[in-house]
Amino acid sequence: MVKRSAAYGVMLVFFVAMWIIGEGSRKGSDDRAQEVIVESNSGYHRWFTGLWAPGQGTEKALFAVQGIAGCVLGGYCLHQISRSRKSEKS
Amino acid sequence: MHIAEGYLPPLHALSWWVSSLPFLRSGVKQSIEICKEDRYRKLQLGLAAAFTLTLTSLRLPSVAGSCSHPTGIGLAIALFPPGVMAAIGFVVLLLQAVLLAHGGLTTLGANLMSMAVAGPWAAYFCMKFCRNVSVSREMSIALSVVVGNLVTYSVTSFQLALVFPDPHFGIAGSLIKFLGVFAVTQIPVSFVEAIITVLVLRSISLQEWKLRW
Repeated sequence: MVKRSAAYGVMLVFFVAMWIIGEGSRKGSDDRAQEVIVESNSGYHRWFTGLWAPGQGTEKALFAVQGIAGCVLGGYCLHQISRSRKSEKS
Repeated sequence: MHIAEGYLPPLHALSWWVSSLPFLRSGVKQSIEICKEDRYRKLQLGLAAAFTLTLTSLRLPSVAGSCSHPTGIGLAIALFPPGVMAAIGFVVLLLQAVLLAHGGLTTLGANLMSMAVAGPWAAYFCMKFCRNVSVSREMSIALSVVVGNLVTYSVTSFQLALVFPDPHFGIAGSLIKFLGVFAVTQIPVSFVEAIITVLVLRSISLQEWKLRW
């Protein structure tokens, strides 16, 4: 129990430290790679673009939806597993 | 590691698609077999997919004012053969390409190769090695997640370096440049992912699960 709490504590401290260090002009590594491409290959044009591109706010919201969908699916699976196990024991 | 739509020339995009298809086919086949095994395994597969879906939605802040996505491969490689991750990765990458315009359909083959093939296989070999030299199960999983993450981003760097070689130093110079972008960000993120994976595995009663290791 103590070990687990310590692990959660370490994780929390790590997250907070990373937020503090990363605060400011935080950019995705994918975006940075695209910047490198544009810098070193100024004549390069994308030959295909997606059918739609969400704005920054919409993109964040969609990622949140994806995360929530993952949590719901994971929660459902865990619930079903523990339910089946209980019914097997009884 | 998401290479954006249209950044790989048609020939490269097609090559990565073709080379990743056999892995995808095998992954789908293995996933179907797992679903047929029993109900627990089916639910475990769902949980591994949910874990990947959740973790790849996170943008974890890292050093040098950048952020990046974890790959979410840990649970899948702890529970299933590494090939299964190709099927899970395909679903996640397809959803992100179509609904979030993150990554792309033309670059899906390349992204699949890095995140759902190279990363998980590297993690598998790392875990196998660690277990062979008697490293504890949790530490093996944590190390394999770190290795899987770094290999994923190294493969992405290689894919981009092939297309955009440095004018002076060629592919090697470009590879170092892209690794400089990805590795600096991904190393701390991979450690966080390793910790999350181990904590999740602990919280779901590790000893009762049919772990592969």
